[in-house]
Amino acid sequence: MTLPRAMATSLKTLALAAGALVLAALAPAAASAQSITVTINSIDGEAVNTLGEYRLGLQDCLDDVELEFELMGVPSDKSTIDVYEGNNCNDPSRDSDDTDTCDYLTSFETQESTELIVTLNASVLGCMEGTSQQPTLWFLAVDSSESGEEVGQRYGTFEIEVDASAPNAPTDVEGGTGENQIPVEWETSDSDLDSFIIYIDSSPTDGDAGIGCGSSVLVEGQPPPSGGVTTKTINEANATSANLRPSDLDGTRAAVAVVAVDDAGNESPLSNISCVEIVPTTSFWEDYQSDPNAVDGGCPCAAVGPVHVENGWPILLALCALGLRRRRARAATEDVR
Amino acid sequence: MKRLAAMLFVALSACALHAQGAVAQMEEDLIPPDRSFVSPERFGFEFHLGPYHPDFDGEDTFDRFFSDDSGLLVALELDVIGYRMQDTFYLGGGGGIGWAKFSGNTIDDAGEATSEETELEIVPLNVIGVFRLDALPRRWGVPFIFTGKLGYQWMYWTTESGGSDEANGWSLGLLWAGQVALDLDTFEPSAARRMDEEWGINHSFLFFEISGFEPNSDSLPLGDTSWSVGLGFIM
Repeated sequence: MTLPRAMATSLKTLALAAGALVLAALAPAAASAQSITVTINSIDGEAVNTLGEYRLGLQDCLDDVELEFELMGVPSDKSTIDVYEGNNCNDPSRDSDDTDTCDYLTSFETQESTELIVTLNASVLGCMEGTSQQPTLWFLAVDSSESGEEVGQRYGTFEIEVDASAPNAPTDVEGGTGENQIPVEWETSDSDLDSFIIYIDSSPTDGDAGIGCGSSVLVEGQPPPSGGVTTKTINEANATSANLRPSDLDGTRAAVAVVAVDDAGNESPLSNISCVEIVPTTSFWEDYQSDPNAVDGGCPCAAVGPVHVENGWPILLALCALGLRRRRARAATEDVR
Repeated sequence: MKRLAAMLFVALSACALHAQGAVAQMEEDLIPPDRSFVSPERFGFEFHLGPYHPDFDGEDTFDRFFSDDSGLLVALELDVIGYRMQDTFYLGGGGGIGWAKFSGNTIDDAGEATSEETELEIVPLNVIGVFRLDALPRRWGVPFIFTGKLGYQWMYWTTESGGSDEANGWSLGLLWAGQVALDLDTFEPSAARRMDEEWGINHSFLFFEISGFEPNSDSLPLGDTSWSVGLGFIM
């Protein structure tokens, strides 16, 4: 079977066109080959875990913490690494004045090495309070032979996780009473929490334990005070309660509020204010000891003495006898076999 | 032509019969040689669950703090079968261990509960002699097993309040128990045989047990007459 000549020619043309399209699609990808590997080493001197898990919080930006990156595969024939933040910063046709999509941050000298440690300050990321962002950092190798122009083919990227959004304040905070252990309970609705901070004002203004309690320094919904209170940190992400010790209070009553801290270090506003109080208590054991019918006013059975154990010997001996008899019977059966 | 067809039919039939015989032989090979296998009976094992409520010699000390806590007592018991009269009874001895925890709140001067926790934890250890009568299910197919136990118990206890240990000790005394069990083998004899062949479990039963612990007068009065339910095996 043969195709008409015209149809064969058309098919050949179509095949050529398809091939050309595939090549055209592949060409830009080859031109923008990424060759510099970027990893984050530490945040403000603290090593990032081996999984590279981290999130920057608002306070990191405000405190201008240092971010240390390691660049691998830096071309030795390039002299500078330009750092941008934005989108498609490796595009050679990008307008250098196009600051809407690509912001120049800084530059580093490569020092004739394929590895480079660079340090950025978090403030350059322009964290915005109340937002979560994932800005991409672009590390572009600059060809020294072309008067500092970026080549665009040798670059690395790194996506920064910035969470500048504060978690919700804990709700239904309720302080309790006790002598050695004074509980504080709360509820939370966020899932990305890392810890909680209990703020303790040992000079409450009014209120009874467990009900409303006033404080001149703790205000619900406001940021925690910077002084005039003591704090207790609960390093448990899913905590809904904690126990204060008498030493945590300066006195017998205190107003407490709880702040949630998310895994980016953002702190929630203060929760509602509640009261805790140290009161004399009687425990189960103290109550038993005060009972006139208590055994010798306490419990002399705290240690196992021979007087007590010997009551059980007959049973132990009987069990041993049973075991021996069974063993002999089994041995006799095996002999018969 | 007809003759050839007849010969062919005979030959094919012979082949088919031969193949059928071979299949039957293979099926016979799959049947276990001895379906009446019974493994040796050496142990009795019981898993207990039930409430526990120390009576404190009738004083209300316990109830004042732990009235809302029945302290689910979880316990295991392992008995060695010392003597077995076939299809009638077992005589043996063994021991058990359990655990229960009671939580409540301390009380203030007015007798009101505070937010502070106070706890009592018990770990009963015991040795017991066991008489288990299973003649009804084995001889007459009536699925009830009756068991009596007598032993001695060492109940370790510890109490804490406000996160700090306060006291601990042992309460010692006699232990007794009476048990009625539903023999599961009676309902599923073939499953029981398979369990024996594959796991060495001769019999299994669900039980209800009443037990009593009577600590001596020198002990913290943690005695109780309590009940438990559970699952038991003869292995």
